[in-house]
Amino acid sequence: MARKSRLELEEIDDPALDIASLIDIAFLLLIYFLITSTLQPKEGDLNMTFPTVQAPPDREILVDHLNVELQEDGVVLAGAAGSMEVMDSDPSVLRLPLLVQKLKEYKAAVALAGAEPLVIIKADDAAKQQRFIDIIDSLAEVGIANVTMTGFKTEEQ
Amino acid sequence: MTPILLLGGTLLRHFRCLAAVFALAGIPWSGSAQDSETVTSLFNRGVSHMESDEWEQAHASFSRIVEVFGTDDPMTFYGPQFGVIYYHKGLCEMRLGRYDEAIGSFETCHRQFPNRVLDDAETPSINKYWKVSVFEWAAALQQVEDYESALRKYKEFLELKPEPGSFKPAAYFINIGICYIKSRKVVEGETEIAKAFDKKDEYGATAADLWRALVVLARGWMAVEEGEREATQARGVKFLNTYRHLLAQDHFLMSGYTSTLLVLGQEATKADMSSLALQLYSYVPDSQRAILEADVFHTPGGRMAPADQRKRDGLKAAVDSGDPPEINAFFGIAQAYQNRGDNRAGMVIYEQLANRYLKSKNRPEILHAATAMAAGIGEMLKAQKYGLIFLEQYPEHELKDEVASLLLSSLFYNQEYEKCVEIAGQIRVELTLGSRERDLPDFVYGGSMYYLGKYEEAQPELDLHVENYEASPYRENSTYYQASNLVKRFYWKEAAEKLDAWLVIYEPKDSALLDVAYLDRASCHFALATEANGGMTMALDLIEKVLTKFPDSQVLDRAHNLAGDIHQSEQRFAPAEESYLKGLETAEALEHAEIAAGGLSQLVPVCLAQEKYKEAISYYDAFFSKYPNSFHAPNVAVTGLRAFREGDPKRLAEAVDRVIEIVVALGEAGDSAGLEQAINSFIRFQLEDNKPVDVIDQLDAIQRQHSYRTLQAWLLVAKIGIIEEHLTQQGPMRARLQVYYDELENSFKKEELGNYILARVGINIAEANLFRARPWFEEILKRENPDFQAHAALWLAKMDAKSTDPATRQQAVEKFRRVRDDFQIAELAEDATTGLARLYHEDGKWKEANVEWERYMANRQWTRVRPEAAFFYAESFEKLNELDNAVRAYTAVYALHAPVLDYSAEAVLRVGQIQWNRGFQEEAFKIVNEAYRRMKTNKHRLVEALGRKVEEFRAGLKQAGKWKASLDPFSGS
Repeated sequence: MARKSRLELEEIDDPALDIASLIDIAFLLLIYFLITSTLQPKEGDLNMTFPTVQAPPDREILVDHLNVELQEDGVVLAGAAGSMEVMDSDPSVLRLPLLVQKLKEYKAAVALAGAEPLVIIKADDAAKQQRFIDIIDSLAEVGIANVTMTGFKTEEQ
Repeated sequence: MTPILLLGGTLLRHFRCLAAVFALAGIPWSGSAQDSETVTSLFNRGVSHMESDEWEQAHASFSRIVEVFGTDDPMTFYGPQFGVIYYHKGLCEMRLGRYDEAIGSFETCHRQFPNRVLDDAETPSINKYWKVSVFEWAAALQQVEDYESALRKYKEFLELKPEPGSFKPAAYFINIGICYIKSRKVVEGETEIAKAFDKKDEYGATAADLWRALVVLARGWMAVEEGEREATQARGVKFLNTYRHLLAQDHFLMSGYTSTLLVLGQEATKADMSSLALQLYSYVPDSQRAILEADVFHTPGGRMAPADQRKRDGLKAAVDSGDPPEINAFFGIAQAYQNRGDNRAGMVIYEQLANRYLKSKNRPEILHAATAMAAGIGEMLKAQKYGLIFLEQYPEHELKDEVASLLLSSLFYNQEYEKCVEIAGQIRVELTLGSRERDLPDFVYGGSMYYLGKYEEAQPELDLHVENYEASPYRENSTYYQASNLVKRFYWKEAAEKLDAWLVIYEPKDSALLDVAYLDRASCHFALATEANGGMTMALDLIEKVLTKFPDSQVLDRAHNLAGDIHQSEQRFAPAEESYLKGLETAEALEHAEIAAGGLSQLVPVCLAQEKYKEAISYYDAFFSKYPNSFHAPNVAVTGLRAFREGDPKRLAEAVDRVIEIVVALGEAGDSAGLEQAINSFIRFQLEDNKPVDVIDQLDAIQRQHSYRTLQAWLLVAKIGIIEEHLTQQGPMRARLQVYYDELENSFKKEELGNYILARVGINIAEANLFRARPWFEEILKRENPDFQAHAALWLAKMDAKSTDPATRQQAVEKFRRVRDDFQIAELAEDATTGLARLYHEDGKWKEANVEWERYMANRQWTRVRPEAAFFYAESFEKLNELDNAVRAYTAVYALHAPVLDYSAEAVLRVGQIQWNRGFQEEAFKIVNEAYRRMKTNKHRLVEALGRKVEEFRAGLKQAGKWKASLDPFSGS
């Protein structure tokens, strides 16, 4: 039997980098940075500092109620009467961070005054139901339960 | 001395006979004293004197006989007839009032000279007066008030069986009766005297005798003990009635007793015997009749006796002077009636006096009494009549104030308010404010103004009375009028407070004004009602009280209508319809036409609201059939349009014509209020079916056809309204708008224009130039018509608030308050509260400012100046040095009103500074810094100030060594 003298080279796959360890390292780094880094705060994201008062309130200081208005296009406004400002204008984003921030500030201001918060929601019937739910979720998140609805067409009629 | 009847008078005719007897007897009537003095001559002389009423001389003659001839046993020498001398002497002594001596003389006559036959007498000697002297003896005893002895003597006289004709039985019974009476045995005395009356002619009683007896008897009746008084009075009245025919025969004679009767009447009145007094006064004769009878019956032989003539002349003079004596009797009768509680009878008497004795010097007193009595019994027309006569005839009399007061009362309760104002206005000028005398005039003045509907003028007058006359008997009324007047002026809140205070006092007393007070209070509740205060329910409760507790009240119809208004405003149309129907029915029963028209007019809209078009049309037809000229007609005409459109379209054109007809008629009459209502409602209706431009064309057509000024003005205003509401987008129409305004301002006098137009034009002017609008608003406030007064007051308050004069600013405060508290117009209340708060704030009245800003904050419906209010509310706390509260309120401002930088940035600055000052310096920096970082994209002076404040605080912290980088997480960003 003849002996094969020809050298048959083994088929070798395309070279590739095994990144499994890299991923591991990346995660480790991410965890490292997450733990060690200090985030530079954005100005608008900051909580408001509330002043210190020296004695508990001896009377209720009257504070305006907060109006939250949901417009037809999903834009959400909030503020006291005469001072409404746009909070969140992109209806595709479910969260309403600015509204939540406003609600928190309102709740804190009302508490400082020794009063109870009251939010009046005025929603356009044409606005998406989901947006209204988003507002309710925001209120729940902040813990404001005293809410009144107004502005529905059926009511206006 | 008591009146008695002497027999001497009747026996005088015997004197001459007696003298003859002495002479004929041949008795040697001579004595030793003087040869000329004989018994006969002296006796004749004595009798002569008696006949000439010369009693002293007569007595001297008889005494001389006794002195000269009576010392030496005259019985023996002259026999019993010498007793005659003593008898005559006694008669003279009686006449001269020397009763003790008379007693002696009559006793001597009777005891020492009894009739007996003298043995040696050649001629018979008889003492003719032996029996009669006992009678005279009794009479003399009666005169010295020894009635017991007198009675015995009278009885003894009768036992002597005097010969008929030798005495007058009437005198006997009357005198014995008098003695009984004087011995306090009135019944016995009355019985004896009655005998003389019963057998007047037989016993020879003259009318004068009877009158004298009656006088004593009357006094006897009045002197009885209290327990016998009633029975005695009844007997007395019966006696006087029984013998009236005897006593009242001769009025001339009776007139001699007038003064006695007057005294007796007064005494009877004092003795609480008014019936007896009335009887006695009724015996006072009419002087004219007495004179007539004197002329006819007392002229024997054509000549009147001198005494009668004097009496007659006296009476005539009294009548001519206007004051005959019976005037006093009338006064007495009136007084007696008053004492019996029969004031109406008293009034009749005073009326007689007032109408008959026009020349009396007592006429002022008569008129005063008539006025007082009439006022007292509620005869106000009569009180008014006599009071006015008094004031006209005796304007300076000392009783004028009293009469004026009585007159005022009568005029006031007689609803003569114009006259009241005139008289009260004159009277009170001279009186001191707060004095008892001025109480009534001040009350009547204010009350009359109130009833005349001059509410603006009435208010200060009523306030003045309430303030100055705390103890006034009219306080119940005046405090009610004061409150009710406020209701009429739409000062609801103040009126409500006053009515509540009034009800606390007078509700338990069941005041006669309770029904109207309830109704007024219900009106206040209605006007001030909110969901929170339950005003509607309270109003209905009060109305229910009126309806159930006062079934005869004159305001039942108004109460039903008010209930209808309340139900209607609460949209309970079925009960509203029921109430208006009752109101209509009651008002028609009470003949209150305008209130009935009001109820009927409201039935139209109430039925419309229930879609009961046929019923609405039937009420419409009923209204124009019964009350076509009512104040409510325009309203019904316009409201009815809808009913016809829905229920009977065929008649719609007729209804439209009626509206136009009414509009034109109102324009002709210059009835601005009616026009406003009619045109506005008409236009609203027309705009539902027509284009605004077409309605303007319709109005132009009316304007061209009728040139009445008021109508022209209202049509201009109507067109302005249509353009402002519907056509402002059209350039030509906007141009026309200003033309209309200019025409209204320049072509009409303000007096010609209704309140609505004045307000509309005034506001149009004020928005361009505040102060130029003042006359327009002042014109509105001058008027009674309440429409747009609130708007006018608000704009004037705004003008006043711009002043630097404290008094003017105070007026602004009052106007703002009135607008807010009384008019209860929500849209104005916000402006008024803001104005008030700003004004206090500007004046540094921080407490008041705080209250007003808080009031604003508390009302969530008020939104016009919310950021401003929130900020100044906080600032008022800061100014009051309530820093915690200020910090809380400022924080709410920048948390909730962030976009309004004028207030939010300033609030941050204030909080930062307060906290910095209070030692919270790091916190102050953070608050200011955070806010600045949020706001810094805004180019606003206060944001820049915030930036500076951040740096100031940062530097301060660094300087104090308190700075930390963590305080500013934004640094470097």
